[in-house]
Amino acid sequence: MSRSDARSRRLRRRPSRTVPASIVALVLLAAGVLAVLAGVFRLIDGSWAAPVRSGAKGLAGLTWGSGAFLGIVIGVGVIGLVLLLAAIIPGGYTSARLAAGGAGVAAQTEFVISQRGLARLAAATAEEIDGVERVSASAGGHRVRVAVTTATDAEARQLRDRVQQAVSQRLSAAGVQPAARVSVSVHTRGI
Amino acid sequence: MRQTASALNRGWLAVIGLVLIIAAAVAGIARAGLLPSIGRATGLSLRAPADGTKLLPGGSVWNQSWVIVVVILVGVVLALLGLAWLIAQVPRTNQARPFRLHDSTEHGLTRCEPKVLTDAVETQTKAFPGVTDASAVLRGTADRPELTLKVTCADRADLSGLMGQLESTVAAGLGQALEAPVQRFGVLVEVDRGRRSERAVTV
Repeated sequence: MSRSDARSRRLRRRPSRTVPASIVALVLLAAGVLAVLAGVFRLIDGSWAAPVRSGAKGLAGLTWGSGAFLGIVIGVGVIGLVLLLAAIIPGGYTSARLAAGGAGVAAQTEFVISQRGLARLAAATAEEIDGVERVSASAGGHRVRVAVTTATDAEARQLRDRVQQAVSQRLSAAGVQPAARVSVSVHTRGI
Repeated sequence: MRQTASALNRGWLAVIGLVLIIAAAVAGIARAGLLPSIGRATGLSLRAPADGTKLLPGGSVWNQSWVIVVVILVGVVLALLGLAWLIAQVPRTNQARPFRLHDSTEHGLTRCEPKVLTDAVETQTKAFPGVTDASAVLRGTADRPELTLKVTCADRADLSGLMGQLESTVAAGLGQALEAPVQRFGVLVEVDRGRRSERAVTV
């Protein structure tokens, strides 16, 4: 898929694995630059630079039966497995679909809300409930988790039910599809 | 809105991961002394390295000119690959090229920059109730335009109604302006944290 073809992509996407890719790219860049510098200095000076010689001394002592070599093999295997898993595991969607439109204006339509937007919507709805002092919310997959803080725990159960109902209704009215599972936890502020 | 290098990242992560796993597996098999039995099973003549055998060749090899040149060339290749991959992490807008609206040698050529259209779309979108910010990207061609909107809304906005209005007004308006129906219309909604002001009066 080219990113210079002026074509749209789906808005509802899986993570693009930017972080592991950037780390590996940086390692490649650093290794390449160090190799070039070491080779150029060797050509200019006639001998390898001191850091290269000390590193080579350590590696030169490695044998097939040494414990350090076994450690390197295991380490390389683990890194390879981590990279492979990062590539093949899809990851959660970065946004949720909204059921909307249908006017037939465009051949293809797509309406999505970011996971962050979903969490803010849930938090804003919970804030309006009487008895709620503080709210924090997070969204991921098809779940929205809301944590509220209240002054007393006398009506914690009723408060949880009210918040869950209000948030579920708000998200349903917004058209989130499929309907998000809302879980609410209530904490009592210590006096 | 912006497009990332997802396919490139996952592809190369898988390739590098597989190469590392295979290298580790081969080294592990050789260290475990299983090479001769594998060789007998496959008809190849394989010998297991002795435990005391050094991994790397002796010092004189590393002082030969061709080895130094290979080290430099490999370094250049790795550095360029790493740099290209890093640059690819920058998200791209992938916006359309200037639209040629009336391409006729007799009557002249009208070129329209996408920014002219997206500015109008953004202004129109920000006028809707509940919308605090908007940005638009136009892709495709003049005959088959594709519009993507990122809309930031207040937390009390009627999202469902707003989506319908965006399609029936903004997308339809763009199609009328270009005299071509919008092929793809996408909207990404963000919700503004919003600031609430409270005023109290003491009587």
